[in-house]
Amino acid sequence: MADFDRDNMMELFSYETGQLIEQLEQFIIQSESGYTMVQINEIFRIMHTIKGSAAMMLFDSIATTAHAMEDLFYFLREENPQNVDYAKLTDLILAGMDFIKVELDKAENGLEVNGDPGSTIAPLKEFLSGLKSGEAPASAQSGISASPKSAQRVEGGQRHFDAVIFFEDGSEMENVRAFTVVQNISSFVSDIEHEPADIIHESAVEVIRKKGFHLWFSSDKPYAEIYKLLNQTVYLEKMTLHELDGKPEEVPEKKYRVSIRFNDDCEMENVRAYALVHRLTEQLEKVSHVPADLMSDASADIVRTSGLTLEISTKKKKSDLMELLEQTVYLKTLNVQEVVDAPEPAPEAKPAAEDESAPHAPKPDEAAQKKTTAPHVISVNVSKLDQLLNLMGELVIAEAMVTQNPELENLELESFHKEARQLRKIIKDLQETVMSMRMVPLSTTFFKMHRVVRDMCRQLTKNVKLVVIGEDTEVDKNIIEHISDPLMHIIRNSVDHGIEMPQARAAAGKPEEGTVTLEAKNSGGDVLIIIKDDGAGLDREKILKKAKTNGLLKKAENEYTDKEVQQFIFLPGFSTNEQVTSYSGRGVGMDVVSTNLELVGGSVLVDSVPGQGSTFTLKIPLTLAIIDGMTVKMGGAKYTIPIVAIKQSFKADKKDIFTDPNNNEMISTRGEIYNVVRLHEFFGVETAVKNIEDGILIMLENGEQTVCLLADELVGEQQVVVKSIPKYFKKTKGISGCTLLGNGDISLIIDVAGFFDKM
Amino acid sequence: MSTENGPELLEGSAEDTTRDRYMTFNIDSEEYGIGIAYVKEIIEIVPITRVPESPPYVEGIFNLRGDIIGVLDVRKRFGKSPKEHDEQTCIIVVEHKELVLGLIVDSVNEVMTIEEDSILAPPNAKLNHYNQYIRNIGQVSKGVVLLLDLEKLLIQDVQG
Repeated sequence: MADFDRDNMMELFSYETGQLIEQLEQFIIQSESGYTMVQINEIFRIMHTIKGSAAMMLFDSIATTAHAMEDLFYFLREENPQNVDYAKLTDLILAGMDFIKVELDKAENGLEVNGDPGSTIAPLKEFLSGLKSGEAPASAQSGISASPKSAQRVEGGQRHFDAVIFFEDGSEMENVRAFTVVQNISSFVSDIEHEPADIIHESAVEVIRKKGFHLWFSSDKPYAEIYKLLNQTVYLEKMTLHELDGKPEEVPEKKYRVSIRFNDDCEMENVRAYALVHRLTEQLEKVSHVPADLMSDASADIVRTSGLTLEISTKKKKSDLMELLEQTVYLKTLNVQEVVDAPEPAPEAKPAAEDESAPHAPKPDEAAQKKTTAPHVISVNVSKLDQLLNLMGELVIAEAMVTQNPELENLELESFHKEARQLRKIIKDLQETVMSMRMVPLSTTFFKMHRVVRDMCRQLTKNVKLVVIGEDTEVDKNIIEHISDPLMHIIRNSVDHGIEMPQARAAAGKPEEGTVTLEAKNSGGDVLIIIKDDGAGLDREKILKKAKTNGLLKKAENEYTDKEVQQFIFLPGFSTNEQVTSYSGRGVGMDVVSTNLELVGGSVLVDSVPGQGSTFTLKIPLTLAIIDGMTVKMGGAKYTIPIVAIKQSFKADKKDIFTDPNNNEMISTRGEIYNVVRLHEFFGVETAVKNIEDGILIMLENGEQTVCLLADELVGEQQVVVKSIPKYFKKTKGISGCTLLGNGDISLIIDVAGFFDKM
Repeated sequence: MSTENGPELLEGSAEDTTRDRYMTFNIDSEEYGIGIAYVKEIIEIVPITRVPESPPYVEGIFNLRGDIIGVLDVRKRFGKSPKEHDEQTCIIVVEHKELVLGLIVDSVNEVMTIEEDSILAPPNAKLNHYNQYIRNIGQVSKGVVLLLDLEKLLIQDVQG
């Protein structure tokens, strides 16, 4: 593997594996109470893929962990054991995934991927062997036990094992490795025999590569221990270990009908089919195929349209056959049916055949079809998208610089303006496209919360259901990164502090199962994320007490409105829960929520009714980068107001202006009265325009409230690229950032929500 | 050689070309110096947009070829009376620990070398309220240069 390729591969690997893990997490959380065959298949496939790509990247710790999970699901898939402790299984798989995530993180950060998978794998293997021993009759029947040698393996008192070991491709010197295996186990087991018998000879290499290294031995150790022992083998690709009890019966040959379809775009189907048949004939007793002639071009069409049908007779178990067939490249669908033409293998064969073919056969089909639609999406490095957005911003500014160039003023430029309008339109379309590329649905972020809730419930012994609504709402990629943490904090808070213990809930006449609702919806230029719980609500007295001890109270306790009290929880170091739990209560958290949101120009509101629960509303901008703004001049500076918040702007008539006894200025327009806010007073800056009627009034709307803002004069409407004010400046409420105008001037962007908040 | 004498950052990589070299500027009649390693560039005074609710000595923000950069008025920072900007007025753009800031000064003089052995510690009695920003005093042939503690000048009580 050349080094220059490795970075790209690493990127792809981390992306893919990350996606797969997320997918897996969803599957697992959804199916905690039991898995359907489709889910097991899917999980198995995911683990298999992770294992494969991790092995390719030489991340052994990831590969072995994935391998262990794959083994487990392989067993579930093949044997369909009953009485599986699914909660335990879920815990194990989640632990394994967490391990992989940690390792993946190391890999992404260029650290050595060196975690010890032992402690993660051990319980998985234990669980598997527990399943297997509970499933004694099934597993006792060995897979590849047809060898006559196994007949001799029966002696009193001891257990007898039959193991097949495959080494990884490219591990080289398989015979020497096989010899090492024998050496390693020789002190624990007796009567070792192996196939090929002469492993010192060079020719053994080929045999081991193709058919695996087959071992028979006896030991007084339990299955799990032997499994562990063998599993330590380096370069182990896969291994099957069976315990034999008594004489293994001669397995009768069974007939299978296999239909295979290749991926639509794989080309040369006949050659692929030929290769497959060739591979099968090496390992199976009898293989015949339709179409019979695979060398003609016509057969390619037949295979493409009606698939390849194989008639196979073999002594191998169906699971082994499946495994063999699944290795086929470009495999799209695979259907294996056992052909029962004689009444001989009645008891075991029938359920097996039903199991695979009848109820579930169509489903892999569907999955495969879904997969074929995937190539319409390509993955792009986020940094490229960021760069594109930056360039887009530059383009918007450059366009303004050209079309609003002061040198063009007072010139008769009819066609210039026409073309400039066209240019502006194209730029706007382009910008919308660029923006839409950056939009990702919230679903991934939301589904992560299932895991959070689940883990907490198990630990806190609470019973909480998470309801997710509107997860397909889309938000700019950069924003999603910033809201994931706040969201997690709030959800944790809701489960930990909000939802009561089941007994307390029952006593309060609520259902024992608490509900946390996570909802996203669009609202104008913002996205609202609402987290609602039906827990105890915020305790006014407790918060006030805490605020008092922290010296936060500025006026008498009873003068605080409920809303004001509730906002206290977003201050640093504020937690009213006396008990510190592992999830919350250390007084960090809610202030992180508000600071994190402020970073992206969002805000958080809380509304709580005692005994009925709390609602947190996160308001985040749809996108950060470019907004339509109206720029006004005031004093020496310019301010830009987002167009979405402006209802209208107008010159005031002196007769419409009046003042109330508290010196609040008001204006009446179109039969309604509005408050007037002087921008210069609001921000404490100097300006020459003192009379309302000399300036311009801009009617601003935020939710229910409307005010008229007084500025000196209008500059104009244009798209502006939002830039942040250097961190050196304290965040000013009412200002969300700044922008460069066409002439290079800086304009401050007014944050309408913050503005109303401040009034 | 002790680290007391020069800006600590200079002990690192770029030391040979920048060590002992200072950019000097004037506020009223005094001459001040900052380590040349901190200086990114010097520009003429440009229009500056005030940011509401910032301290008086924080002049505002300006556009440096597309980047938005904050700017301090060193006069006001030292508590001196404001002075009309003229053609001598300059902005020294400095960079310190990823913070890029402009400093408005009356005029920029020169880049000079001040050897370590001609650098003295400031008087230990802190009488003037602005000498907290003075790290050392450099003696040069024509008099003294007050060497600034950039970190204190930039960071201190801005957040407060």
